[in-house]
This record gives sequence, structure tokens and C-alpha cells, in this order.
Amino acid sequence: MKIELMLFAPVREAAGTARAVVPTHEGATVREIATAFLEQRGVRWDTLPPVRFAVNEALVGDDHIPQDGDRVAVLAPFAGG
Amino acid sequence: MEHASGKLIVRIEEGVIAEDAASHLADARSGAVASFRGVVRAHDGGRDVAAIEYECYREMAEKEMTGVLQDAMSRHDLHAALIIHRNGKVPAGETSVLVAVAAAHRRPAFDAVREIVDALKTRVPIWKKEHYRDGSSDWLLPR
Repeated sequence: MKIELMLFAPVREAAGTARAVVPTHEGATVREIATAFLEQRGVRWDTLPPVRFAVNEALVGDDHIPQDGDRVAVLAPFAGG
Repeated sequence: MEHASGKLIVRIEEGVIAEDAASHLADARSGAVASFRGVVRAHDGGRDVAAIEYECYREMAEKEMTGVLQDAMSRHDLHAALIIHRNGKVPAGETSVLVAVAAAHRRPAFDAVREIVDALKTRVPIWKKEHYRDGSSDWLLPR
């Protein structure tokens, strides 16, 4: 199965990409998927601000298990206005 | 978009927000139109700011901004409510966000604008990077 990983702002800059289609295994959580992807690119969580996750534009917990084709977004703290 | 109690307008814009962007909210039912303009400040923490670069998760940001306005409509008697937020690089002195509401009376109008601006900062996936006059830049995280 595959998900679309979406990265923004400081997370996008650290990873060097905004979007990636990522193969995952059944039962993998959003945090596990993002961790594996970032580690491949040499990025550790402790170099980033604390993040939350969204699946298909709705916030989810770190242990949410996405489905095939879901859009998984890694979100640094919001700073609009 | 229409809410049960009034009109909702949500936009994310790459270009300048027009001075009269909220003027059409007013109608004869509304005794009060209140608005807030956020402006890119030319200084922050002792540093000279040239611009703020906004980045958003557009699909989620539009959905959350709509939710923020729907919540405000549920709490206050509003006829219309609007959020326009800039995306991309906004030079110091330009408007980065415009919030406006129309209501029969001033109190719900003022209260709603304050609540919408506060909610916008915590609920909507928008990020900003400050660009300084010395050429450096930093992502701004909420304090």
C-alpha cells in the first residue's frame, strides 16, 4: 500500500521535498511512516519543531493508521495571521 | 458559501488584499461591520523585517477557516463573516490577513472578530518565515 506524504514549511525544508508517494506496510502509524521517510533523508525529529499529523485534511493522533491512498500531512505548529 | 445564519467568505490570496475587500459585507440589516487587518511589521525582536513569507496547506486551511467562521456564526448573531489570508511573500507594511464580520449590533461584531483572529492563529495550517533586512531568515513558531 502507498500513501502521499505532504510536508510543509520547516519540515519541508529539512526534508528537501514537499510531496512524496511512500510505500508502507499494513498497520504502520503516521508517525512511523514520517519517521522512516525523514530518517532516509537524514532528518531527526529533535532538529524539528514538535509536529502533529493530518490525514485527508483532518487532524489525527500520532498513532493513527492511514489507509491506502491517504494524504498524510506533517504539520509544524501553525503561525498564521 | 452560505451558513444557516449568513454568508461566509474564505480566500487565500497570492496578491495584495484590496482596501475595500470587506465593503460588500455591509447591508441594510447590519448596523455594525467590524474588521481586523494584520499587517507585516517592519521589526520583530529588535530585527529589521523586510517581508514575511507565508506557506499554507491550502485544502486544509480553507476547510479550517470555514470551520472558524461557522463556529463564530454559531456563537454570535452575524449576517456575514470573511477571512482573507495572504500566501507567499508579503513585504513589511502590507496586509497579511483581513477578518471582517457584519452583525446587527456592535458587541457581537467586535467579539466575533477577536475570536476569529485568535482561532485563525491556532487552527489554520499556515506557517510564516521572516525575512530580515540583513538577508537572513527564520521560521516563526508560536510563542
